[in-house]
Amino acid sequence: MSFGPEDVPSLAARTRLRHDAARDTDVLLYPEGVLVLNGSAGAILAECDGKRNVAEISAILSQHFGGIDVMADVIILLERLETKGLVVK
Amino acid sequence: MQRKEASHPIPVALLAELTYRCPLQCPYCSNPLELAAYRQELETEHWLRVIDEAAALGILHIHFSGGEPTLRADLPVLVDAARKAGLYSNLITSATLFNRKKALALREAGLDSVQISFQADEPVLANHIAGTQAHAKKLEAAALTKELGWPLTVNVVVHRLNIDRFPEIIEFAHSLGAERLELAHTQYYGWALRNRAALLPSEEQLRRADAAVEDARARLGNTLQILHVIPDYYEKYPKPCMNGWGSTHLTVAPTGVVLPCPAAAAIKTLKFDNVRDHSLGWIWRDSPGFNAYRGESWMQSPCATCPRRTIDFGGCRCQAFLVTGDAAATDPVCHLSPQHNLIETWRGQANAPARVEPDPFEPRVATVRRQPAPVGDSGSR
Ligand code: SF4
Ligand code: SF4
Repeated sequence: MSFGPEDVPSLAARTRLRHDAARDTDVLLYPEGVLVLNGSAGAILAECDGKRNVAEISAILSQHFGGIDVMADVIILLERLETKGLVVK
Repeated sequence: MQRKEASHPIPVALLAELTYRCPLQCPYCSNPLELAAYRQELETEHWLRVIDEAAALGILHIHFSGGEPTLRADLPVLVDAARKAGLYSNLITSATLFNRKKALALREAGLDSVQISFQADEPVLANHIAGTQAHAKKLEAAALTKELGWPLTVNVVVHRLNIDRFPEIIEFAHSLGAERLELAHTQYYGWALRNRAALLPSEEQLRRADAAVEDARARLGNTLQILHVIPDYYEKYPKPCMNGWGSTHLTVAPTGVVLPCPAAAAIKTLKFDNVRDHSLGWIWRDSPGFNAYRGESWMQSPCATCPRRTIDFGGCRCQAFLVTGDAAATDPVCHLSPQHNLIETWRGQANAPARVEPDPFEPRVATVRRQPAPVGDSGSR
């Protein structure tokens, strides 16, 4: 299972993405646990709205990071979460 | 896990034990033996405060449990408060009272996920273990959970009487449409400790169960996540209980007593504080009960100098107390514990070739009906 530029990822229905003030970081909550998201992971997942594809998400993120190409990082994150059943396409 | 201040970890999960009343009588119930001491339940307003204080402490998950949490009529109000506070909420239910009306109210309130306990895959054994005709109602509740779009976890507490049905139980959970199956072996606290001889499986049973899980994982892949927690009596080392005392978890018992571990009320040498008297934050950070076994300074030999103490924290304090009488002792499950021979003896009994099956077990005594519960009905029985 791998993501290409045209794939449209979305967070699994059972997840909830939010900011956590106590830890000052984004977290992804799901029934059996939590992922503490560091760096850009929270920002990437926030763009996974079930409408944008990987290329579009990467372009948005790229703007946050001064134009560098982040598609490879986006794909690594999505694939990692897909194996946990937290992201679907 | 990240720490805001070096001395105080940020808790992750709150187990809200709303009531110990329950229509079932499982012989492995982890509720305390002295159920009658827990009739003075917290009022709704206390729980609302606990939920807000929990969120402020950094807690992310709230598990509504019991006993049977749906016996509390204020459950939807509490779920709603949890949702507003940003907590991810999970209902842990025996599900015999989970009808459409209750389910719709909980969905409206924003409940995130549902975990239903089953005693077995088939009604005769399941009802025998539950001590009541529960199985058919649970099936309806599971279907309702799926229909209303919740993620469903099926939880089966495993013991000598149902462990031989692993292949059937796994198929059963799969057919219910569960995303997750927890096959959690009985932990020997509360009623389970009393019924240990009847419940502890043999090594051969355990081996077959493990093989069935491996087989199912290979067949079912991602469609059903299977969590298999084996009984620690058969492990060489203890479990890293609660990830360390007072490090990630809080339990609030029905009366408002706050515990570092759901079983900790059994430790009679410690005093635990109550949310009626103190804030959750003070209890977490400063109460003597929560600080008793934080860090390593309380450890005795052999834990104090053992290289594994940062991995398993010396095991479970409650088990240490219940088996050795000293909550600061090495968990007797550890093969390095001076009292490990006790565990070996019990294991030997579970594996004795001449054992007569099945051992009788003592059902959890049904809850007393005339109680001054602030809210809720007293169940269906
Ligand atoms: S009797 Fe059974 S269903 Fe009820 S609280 Fe105990 S374990 Fe859970
Ligand atoms: S001696 Fe203590 S720290 Fe070492 S493995 Fe056993 S329980 Fe863990």
